[in-house]
Amino acid sequence: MKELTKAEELLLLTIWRLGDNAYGVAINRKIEEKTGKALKYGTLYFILDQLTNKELVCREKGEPTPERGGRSKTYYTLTEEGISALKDSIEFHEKVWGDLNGLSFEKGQDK
Amino acid sequence: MTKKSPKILNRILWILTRPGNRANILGDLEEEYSLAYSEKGKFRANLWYAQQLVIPLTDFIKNLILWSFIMFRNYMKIAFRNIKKHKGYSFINISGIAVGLACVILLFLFIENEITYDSFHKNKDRMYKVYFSVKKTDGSLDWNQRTMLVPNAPAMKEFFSEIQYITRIKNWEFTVRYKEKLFIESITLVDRPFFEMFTFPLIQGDPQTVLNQQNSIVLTHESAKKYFGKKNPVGKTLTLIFGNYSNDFYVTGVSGKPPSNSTIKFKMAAGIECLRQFGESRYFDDWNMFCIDNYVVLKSKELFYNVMEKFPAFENQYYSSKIENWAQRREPLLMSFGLQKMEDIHLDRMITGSPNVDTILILTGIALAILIIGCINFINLSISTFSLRSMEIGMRKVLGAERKQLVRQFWSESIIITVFAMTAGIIIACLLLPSFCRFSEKELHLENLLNLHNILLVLFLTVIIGVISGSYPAFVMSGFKTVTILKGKMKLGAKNYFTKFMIIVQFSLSIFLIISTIVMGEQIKYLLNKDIGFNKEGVLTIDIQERDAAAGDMVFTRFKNKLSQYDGIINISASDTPFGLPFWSSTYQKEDIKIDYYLNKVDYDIFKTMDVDIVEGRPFSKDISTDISSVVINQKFAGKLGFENPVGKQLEIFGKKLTIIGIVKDFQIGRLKNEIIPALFHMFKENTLNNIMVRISTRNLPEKIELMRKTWKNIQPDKPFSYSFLDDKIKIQYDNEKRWGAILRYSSGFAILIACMGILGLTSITINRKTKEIGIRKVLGAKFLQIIGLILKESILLVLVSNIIAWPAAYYVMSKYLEDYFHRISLGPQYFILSAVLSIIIVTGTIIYLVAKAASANPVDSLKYE
Repeated sequence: MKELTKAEELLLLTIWRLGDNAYGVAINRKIEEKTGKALKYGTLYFILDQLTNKELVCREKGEPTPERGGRSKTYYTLTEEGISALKDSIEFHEKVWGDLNGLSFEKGQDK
Repeated sequence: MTKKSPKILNRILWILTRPGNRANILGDLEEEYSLAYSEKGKFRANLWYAQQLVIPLTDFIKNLILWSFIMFRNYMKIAFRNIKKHKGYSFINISGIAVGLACVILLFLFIENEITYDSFHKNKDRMYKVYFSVKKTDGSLDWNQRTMLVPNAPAMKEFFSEIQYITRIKNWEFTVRYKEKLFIESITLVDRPFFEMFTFPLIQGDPQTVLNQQNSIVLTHESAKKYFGKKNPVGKTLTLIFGNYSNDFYVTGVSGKPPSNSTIKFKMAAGIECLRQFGESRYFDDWNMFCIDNYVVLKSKELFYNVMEKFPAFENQYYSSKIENWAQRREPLLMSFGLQKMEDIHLDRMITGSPNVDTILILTGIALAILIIGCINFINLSISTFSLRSMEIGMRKVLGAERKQLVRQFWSESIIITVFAMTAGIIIACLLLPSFCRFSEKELHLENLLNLHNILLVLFLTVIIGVISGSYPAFVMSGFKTVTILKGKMKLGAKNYFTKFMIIVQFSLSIFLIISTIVMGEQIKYLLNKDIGFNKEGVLTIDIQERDAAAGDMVFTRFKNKLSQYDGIINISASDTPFGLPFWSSTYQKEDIKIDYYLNKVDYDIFKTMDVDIVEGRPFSKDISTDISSVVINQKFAGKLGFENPVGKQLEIFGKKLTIIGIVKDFQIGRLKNEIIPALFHMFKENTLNNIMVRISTRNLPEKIELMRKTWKNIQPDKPFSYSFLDDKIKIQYDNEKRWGAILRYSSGFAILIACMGILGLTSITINRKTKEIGIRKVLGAKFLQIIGLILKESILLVLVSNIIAWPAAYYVMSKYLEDYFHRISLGPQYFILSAVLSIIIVTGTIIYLVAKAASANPVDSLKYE
């Protein structure tokens, strides 16, 4: 399995967190909430397309809503591969970072 | 509550997003927008929404402009390289289209001049020419009368309150004198409002008053210069002489020259009432002479219908008695007046009977033919040189060029070629303009092209021609499979039917023009050299310039007496109209015989002077006094009369009984377009001799002319010595034919030249491709001539096919053309065979050098690399 990029990892994580409410605006909101900075939608969907192509997430069309100008939402959920990719990623992080718990810059980490 | 984002921004975003995620992105943004709207208000929401546009928009613009610019620069570079690399082909391409475009530009100037005729008048919307239609008793149109009676205009002015201005216009020949300068001038006689009605700006003088005073005259700038040089002409006096009368006229204004697209042309304009001072008052009350143009300006253009409605009443009041009067002479006349719009006069076929529309159509056809031939060169050469470009195209395709981009590339290349061609075309047009102006008898200026409208049109034309001539290569070549191209399996050009078809189109057009040129040239030669029944060479005609019959006779007699004893002056005689030109015409009617004939007053010696044979009876004689009431007729007249023995019979004409004393052999009167018309010659005392005819031997011509000039000055010190040669006068009648002949000669020359350049280019490509074949054939023992035959065969075949296609079309058009002439050459096969031989010789001559070089090349050179 290829390694995920940081952005892909972020998106996979966010989608996982949101569960079955993961669509464009919600994803971006969550990212903003967690990182303090929203993505551009162009970038967001570019990465989502890549993830879809790698079959890490799958799309599902939802119902149209008035606040979206009559357009339907597209929900994203993690596939098996997506979940295992995320797990691999965490493992990888722990491998690399695990023995450095005592460092002073651990403050501000989100766990 | 949900709010919609601004429509425009939404729309722009729609354009900027990729189709795949468009719905998602727009949906998300919409949701965010409505959220922001409810949280932060409309303004902030809009601002945020607009911010979303900034980056994609700049990206989009960068891609669109920068990258197409970069690609375009690349296309340019390649195009220029190609032009440089194949200098010969590029020259053929560019010059072919350039010559075609030059023709189009000239034609464009011509057409612009034609269709803007009279449009410069400020009053054009309500300006009309008066005419009336004469109908036959069965109601069908007999003819449209476009000249009016002299008293018609005052009558109309009185009758119609709708008319603001009306003017009569008539050109009248006067002798004009200023100090020692003496010229015969055609002076335009008009009514007072002339300069107010028409937009002929005055350099000096006030349009409202310039013709108010009696004996005022307005000169154009040119004619003022002719008489007064650089001095201010206003206030100077010109003496106008007509017959025995002479009057002084004061120059009250100077106008510019009437534009070349003006129906009304004048050099000098004076009030028409001045004719009374020249003993011509009778015209003002003459209800028989239709001789004068009437133009009106209505008070508003809506009044046109009112005037048309009131015309029957007008006819009743002024013309009904006259119509009855006419009825005694001919069959009853039914007339109905009408107004013809000023701007329509020049191109109207119905009322004016103008051939100008046909002229435009024929010229357009010719110019387009040449342009097409030039464009075909470009198409054919790009197809044939495709093999040289195939690798480049394959490479571009491999590197990801879309078909659209390749099409764009070919188009930009052909547009570049056309831009070059347009530049060259404008230069060629500049060079040809003076001679074109001579043909068309117009003053055309290239500056006319320099307005925004026309510049846009020229640019448009450039792009269109570029796109059209580039589209075959663009679409066909960009459509080939990449693999086929790169494997070098493409075969195009040599066996390409499209190319062959195009060549046939080119040569059919050229051959059509060649045949037309030959036939027309022969017809003109025939017209100019045909024996017209009398000897027109070596005859000088001198204008007597007297109105009064007795005065004219006297001038002639004195002139004859003084000169007849000189050596080399063979004979002197006189007639009303010079032989060869159309005479006055009239109709003889008795019982059921009706003969339209020409009549001419002559001096008794005329038949001897003109070398016309008398076939029966005798000519006029000086010594027989009754001859002034005798007539001589021509054979045609005699034939139509049907008398068994016409000499000695009497004819009743003009209420007189006239004895036929002789019959002359038929000779041509007027243009050879028409058949010989019955003619009658008389010596009536009351008619005027207008031309002295002198037959001279052509040795020492200048000396004799000088002698005559001196004699003339002696007899008529007040009148200029105005002479011309009879054969020149007769030739002038065929100027129109000559002009068309020249136009066709040039255009067929251009056409065949461009077509030959095209075939030259194609042959050189074919030969390049066949180098090895030729080498192998030579090794295997082919003779020089066999190889030449091999290559020439195809071109000659194509030319022959083109001939066969062009023949029927040319035959049809030329027989239509010849039908107009009573005297005409027969359209025999010789012209068609000549054109075939000529075209084959020209084509062979063009490519023979290339072919011979290829055939004589050493096969070792072409084969050694194998």
